[in-house]
Amino acid sequence: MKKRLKLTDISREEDSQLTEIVPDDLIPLPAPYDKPGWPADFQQLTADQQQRLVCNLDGFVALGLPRPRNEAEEKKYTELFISGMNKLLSRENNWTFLQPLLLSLDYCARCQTCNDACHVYVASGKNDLYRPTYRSEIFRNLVSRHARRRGKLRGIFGGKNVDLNWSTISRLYELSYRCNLCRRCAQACPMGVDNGLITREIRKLFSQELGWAPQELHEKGTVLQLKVGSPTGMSPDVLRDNVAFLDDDFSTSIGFNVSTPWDKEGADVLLIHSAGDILSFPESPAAFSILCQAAGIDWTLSSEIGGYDGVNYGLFYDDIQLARIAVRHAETARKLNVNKIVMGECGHQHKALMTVADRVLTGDLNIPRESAMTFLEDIVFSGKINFDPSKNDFPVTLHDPCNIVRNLGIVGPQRRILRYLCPQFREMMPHGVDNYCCGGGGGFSVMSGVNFTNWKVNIAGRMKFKQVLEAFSDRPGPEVKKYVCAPCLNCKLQFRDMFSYYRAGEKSGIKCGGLAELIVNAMADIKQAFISWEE
Amino acid sequence: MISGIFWPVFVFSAIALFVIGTAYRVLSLSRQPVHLRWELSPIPHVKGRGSYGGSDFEEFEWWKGPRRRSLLAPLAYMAVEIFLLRSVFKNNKRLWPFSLGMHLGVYLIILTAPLYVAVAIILAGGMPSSDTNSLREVTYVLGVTGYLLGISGVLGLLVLRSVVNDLRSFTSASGYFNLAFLGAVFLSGINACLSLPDFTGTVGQYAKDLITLDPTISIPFLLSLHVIISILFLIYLPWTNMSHFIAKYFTYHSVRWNDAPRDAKMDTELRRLMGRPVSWSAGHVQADGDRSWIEIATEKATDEKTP
Amino acid sequence: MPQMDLAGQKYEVDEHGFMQETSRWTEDVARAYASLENVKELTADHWKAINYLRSYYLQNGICPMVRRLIKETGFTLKRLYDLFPNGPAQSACKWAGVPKPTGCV
Ligand code: SF4
Ligand code: SF4
Repeated sequence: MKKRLKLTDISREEDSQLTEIVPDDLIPLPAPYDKPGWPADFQQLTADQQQRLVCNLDGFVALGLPRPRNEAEEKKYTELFISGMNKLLSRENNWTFLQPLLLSLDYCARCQTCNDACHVYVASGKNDLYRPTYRSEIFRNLVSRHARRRGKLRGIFGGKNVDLNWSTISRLYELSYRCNLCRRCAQACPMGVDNGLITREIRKLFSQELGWAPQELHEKGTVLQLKVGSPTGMSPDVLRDNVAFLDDDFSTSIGFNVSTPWDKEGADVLLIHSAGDILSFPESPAAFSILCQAAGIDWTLSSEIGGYDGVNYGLFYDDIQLARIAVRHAETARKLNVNKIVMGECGHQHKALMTVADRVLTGDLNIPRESAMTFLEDIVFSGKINFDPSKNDFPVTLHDPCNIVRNLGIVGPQRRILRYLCPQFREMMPHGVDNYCCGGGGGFSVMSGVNFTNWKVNIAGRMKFKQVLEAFSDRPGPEVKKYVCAPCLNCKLQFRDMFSYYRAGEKSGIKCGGLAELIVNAMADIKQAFISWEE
Repeated sequence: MISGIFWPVFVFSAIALFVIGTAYRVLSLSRQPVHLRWELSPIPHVKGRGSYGGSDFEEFEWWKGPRRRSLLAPLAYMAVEIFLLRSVFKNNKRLWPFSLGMHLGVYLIILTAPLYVAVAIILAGGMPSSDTNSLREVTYVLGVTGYLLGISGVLGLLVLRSVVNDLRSFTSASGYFNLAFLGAVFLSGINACLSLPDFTGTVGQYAKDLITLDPTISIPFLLSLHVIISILFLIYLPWTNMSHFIAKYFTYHSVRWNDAPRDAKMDTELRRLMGRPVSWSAGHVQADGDRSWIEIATEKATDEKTP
Repeated sequence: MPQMDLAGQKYEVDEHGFMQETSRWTEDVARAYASLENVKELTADHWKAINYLRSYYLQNGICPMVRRLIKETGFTLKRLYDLFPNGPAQSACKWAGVPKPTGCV
């Protein structure tokens, strides 16, 4: 039985879990994924983990915050939280998002219209904890009580006073990583209040003031990227070696001579992949190399630190890191003197570099930036490559990465390509700017926490998995091979985790890949199949 | 009975207060620093694409092309949002009829105000009251409909917010108070409207006395009750989150639909903002209270975080 | 940092049991990891993959691409999953005593 949660529960002092998620509460999946307790019950925390780490939210731990050593430490962080709230409200420290933040804090009508738009909330069986408004309202309350001293009539009228203590901030920290920052709720809100933005501001406060951020995003993310060149740890040498290996490997396996250019000054196009693609989905960068070559594009990759991994985890939790990385991306392009930067198939790279960083890239850093979607569309319809769409004669559906579609409004180009090259293309419902997030958004696809992967595949990704199965409901069996086209590395990683958890390859014949692969697979001049169905 | 000079002083200063409050809101909302881009599809002003949520970025080498803008589409979008509450209809069917009722009630009552002013002007011009008959009939119908819609909307919302768990746990005392206050406006209105023999005539005469600053001005108790409650509400409105009618302009135009690339004016402001010192405490930021945002953002940080 | 007992010694590991001190790895550690995943015996094929992974990691600071692993060892992906129940990243890297791959991988 689900217990109702009150806003004030967040500050409950005893360090108990706020809510318990049980598999029976979740929305059902279609057969054969509808067996109770299948594939497995949730992964429980060990006694040792419970003793070492803060786990006072929902039985899942994404962050692994160590338990405080003493009261002084608790007090120190609580005070930092207060100064952080004040800084979020100040122009010097937070001009970057001050106006949207204030609007979202001050004008919520508490109508809950946004709730059902959230896939996390709905998929969880409507657990109070995951309402888009639950964390926002708590934060709003804390801000008006502790950061706005002249809080008008709020003190008397505000109601629901949430105490600020260690339990509150440690739970709020973990809770700020239960939202994909997909902004579907913001679209639904009649006031234009953005709960995704509030979540991100909360994460920012923790990162920029308390120094708390998920390891995968910070130390092993942005910090590693600024130091070594990529959160994967790939140094420029390893990178070049890997790509050379792939050029070679694909040239032999498909009989098309691929060769990737490096650091070519004055090239028309600097393509920046998400470097994880090279390691985890090497067909994707290979497909780009093949297409650029076949279409005669004057292009290059960069092997300079800051120029070969397009990811920017700063978008998920920290403005400073966001700016640092975006500036490095642009500097690389400036040094190479290219005409434009083309984003690889990576949604948050698109959003970070094309729009969010736009106002930071001043002067000669303002190099035109183009989406992979329009870049590929131009290649496909340029007439320079011959296609045989019958080579793609299997069911294909398209996932809309939130950062490319809902946030940037790039809806059509990828669809025009698929309608042309994939005879069995079908849409998920809903799609386009109304899509559901894959569940990997907001940094989740690179986070595994303690047992966080389990939460991602069971709750955050559940709605998407259901949509995928429904899109293929006419050919459900594993004998029919089916392709989920997700033109975003983070989405692909989330699909990979989900499909392997649910064994969707084996049970339903579903695999996931990018857009460029489908294009290469349809090239008439390449005799070998490019997409392989082996799991 | 309240009469004489009280009325024009009260009413006009209240309107002035409302204007000041509203202007304060508008100013405090608009005088925020330029922020990073954070747009959200659909953006209706993108010509030919806005309807399905497309943007300029769908164009190959979009920076070369003209930014084609539709003036009408955002207006149409906003009209449906404001008058029919599109997003509530799409996402919250339970709330929609009541919220719509309340909002339409407000809109209709607002609509009657200029009509009463028109009546007042005609009367002030020395025309006989009978000349305003048809105008007053229209006003009457609008008014009664507005009051009734408003009351049912407010009542419905009050009930929903008290009985439905998820609404109740988020509704604060001020939330109920605001609704009740607005309800009182409607209720006193319909009460005066139905109890007074010639409601619109009385209001018309009252409006005329107001604009001509007639010191003999005097109105029945039920009407003065309605006027006082409404006027107090008007003064109160800009200071509450019901002023979302102002904020909504900014959430849409300054955030959701703000897809403007940098221009010279913005650059100047950005340079100023980025030149100011930052004081975030976390180690990796490397702020010491002196170094500016831009200095910090253009350097690389390699320290590790605690814990 | 959590600790883990492997082959009679204590080692620092991450929350998923990956060793943090690569240099302290021994073949017994690999065997101990394997037995935790119900693999009783490490065959020559196991060692081939483990040794390749380790030497690549020590040289390059990251794990090799799966595609490279396949090419260098001559095993198919399916064969790798037969050898290492949770796959190259989750099992093979762990048994080889190198840290869990990070970033978008
Ligand atoms: S965020 Fe918007 S939709 Fe959600 S409760 Fe607040 S006003 Fe309503
Ligand atoms: S941003 Fe997305 S995940 Fe977060 S609350 Fe809103 S709908 Fe839910």
